[in-house]
Amino acid sequence: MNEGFTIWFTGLTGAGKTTIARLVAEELRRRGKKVELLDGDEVRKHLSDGLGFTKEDRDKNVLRIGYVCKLLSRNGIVAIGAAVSPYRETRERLRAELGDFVEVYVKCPLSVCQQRDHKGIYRDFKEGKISRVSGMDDPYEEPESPDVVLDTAKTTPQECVSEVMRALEELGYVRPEMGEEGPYDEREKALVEKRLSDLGYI
Amino acid sequence: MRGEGKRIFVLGLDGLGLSLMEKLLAQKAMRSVEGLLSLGTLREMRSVLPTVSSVAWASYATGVNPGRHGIFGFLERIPDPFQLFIPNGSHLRHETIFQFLGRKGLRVATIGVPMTYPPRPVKGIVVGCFLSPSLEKAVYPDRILPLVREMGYMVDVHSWKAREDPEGFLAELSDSLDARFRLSLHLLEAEDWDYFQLHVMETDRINHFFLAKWEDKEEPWAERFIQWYRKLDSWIELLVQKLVDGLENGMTKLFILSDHGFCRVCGEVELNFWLSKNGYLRLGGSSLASMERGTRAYSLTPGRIYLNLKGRETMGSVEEGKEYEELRSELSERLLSIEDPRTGQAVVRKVHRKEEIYSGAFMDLAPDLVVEPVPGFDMKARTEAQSVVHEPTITGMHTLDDAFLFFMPGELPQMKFELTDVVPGIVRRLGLELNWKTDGREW
Repeated sequence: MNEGFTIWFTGLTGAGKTTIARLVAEELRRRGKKVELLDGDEVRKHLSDGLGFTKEDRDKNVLRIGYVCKLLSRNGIVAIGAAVSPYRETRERLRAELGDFVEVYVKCPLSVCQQRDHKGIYRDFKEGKISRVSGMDDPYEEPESPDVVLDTAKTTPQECVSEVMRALEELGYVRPEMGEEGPYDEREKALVEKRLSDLGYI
Repeated sequence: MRGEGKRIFVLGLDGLGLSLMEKLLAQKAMRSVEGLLSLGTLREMRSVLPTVSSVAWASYATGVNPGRHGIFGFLERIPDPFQLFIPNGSHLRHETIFQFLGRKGLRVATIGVPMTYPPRPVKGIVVGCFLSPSLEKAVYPDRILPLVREMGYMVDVHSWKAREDPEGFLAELSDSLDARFRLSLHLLEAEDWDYFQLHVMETDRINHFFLAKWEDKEEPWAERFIQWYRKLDSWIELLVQKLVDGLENGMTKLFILSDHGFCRVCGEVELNFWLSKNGYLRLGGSSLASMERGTRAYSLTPGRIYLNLKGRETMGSVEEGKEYEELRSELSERLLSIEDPRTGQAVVRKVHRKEEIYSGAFMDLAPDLVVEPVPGFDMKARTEAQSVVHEPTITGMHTLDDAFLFFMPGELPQMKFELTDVVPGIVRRLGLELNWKTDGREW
């Protein structure tokens, strides 16, 4: 079975998409998966150089990342996309085109994102240096039925990683980890063997 | 994409053969089931080889043959270095309908379905099968453990008790059945679900120990047997009452099926003893791990024969190619000639080469030959047996034919079903398309 699929992190700037996506990528690699992380800001420098922040340009950027995710995931790689991707319709288009697509909504109140403001985007907006910022003068459309919702104002990044991994396990994309003993310790093995032996099955 | 309100309920009645059910219906022991049958379609179904629940339900859940899902019995071997182990759900090498539906965003609940230990996380609930060592390790998610405990749920009954305390064993079978249904009826209403599968294991257990007593009209057991099936029937009635609205408006589809039939055992056939006696198996001790050089074949229950192939097994002695094929032919012929010395009756119906009954990526795990018994002769593999055919230690055994599939509301096509045919039909009724090609037929 092809082990590739796409995890798509969406949410406001400063919500924590990149931070959590990096940690999830680390965890998946630790579990033996091949992973590629496509961060929206990084991709803009390469695949989408010259694109702005109009709706059309934002969509182009998101669809380009999605296309690369599709190529990667069909070759057995877990592709992780992390981009504001503010428009619901565009994300639904990705889901339809990619198939094995896990949408993670990184939810965080705008006020908290503004406080964090690691990239200075909200500051620049307030100072009138930039416009078309999602959540400010541009819309951010929340997902209607994401596979995972992470509330980063209330949960730690590590807890968020656990939530994502649990969802990936529930969706069957990742096998849960067994303890070192596997499904049975010695006592349990003897118990189950007796059960089967009493029925003449072994 | 939640299936637009369409729901599937699957009731698995382990080892309740079609012919036994018909006899119980004739005795008016299953009145609710009798009423249900008039509202849907019933078809005979064929089980799998070897005919055991782990292989059967793995084939059901994946829609593919053992060569593709990798489960061939309750005991499995690693050929080099030789080791035996109990395969469980973690050894199931193919995606199941449960995982598939979860990926599609549907909520799944499975209660006691064989090969669901260890419970693989789903969007929903799993109570693992009788291969679970404890309730604590059987359930997913953890939040349902207190409820499962409160309902008195048991992973399995204590089958040895059937020999020493049959009355106590029957009481335990009743308690276990009650708890299984109590829990399921509660979850039906308390949880959000699109696909629910309740597995009744107790039917298999009662048939192993009481079917023959019932056939022999041995009292008080014959009456107890009927009473137990009446209890099952009452639970099925309650279950259908809970599902009735969905069944009436067609949004819920009900599948009831068994995974194999049952018959009484005339004799147990010890294939490792036979192999030893005929010079194919050399043991230095009391277990297969003590196999010595010169061994050419050995067996695992029920009816699985492995050749001691060079390059595959620890002390392989049989060359691949001509020698392997000649030995398979020789064994097939000789196995067919085994008779019950008490009656002269043949005990083997057919010997299958693995490629005749399996195909897929895990053929290397498959037994080289599979012995299909004449119903009534249970293939065993004890290494300390004293005769080839002997009196049974357990009076009921599984049969390849005589399983059944019931479906309502709606029609099943006119055909003898295979276990791998069920899942394609279920998925289609949810308006979905599987992302793998099953070995089953579309309907």
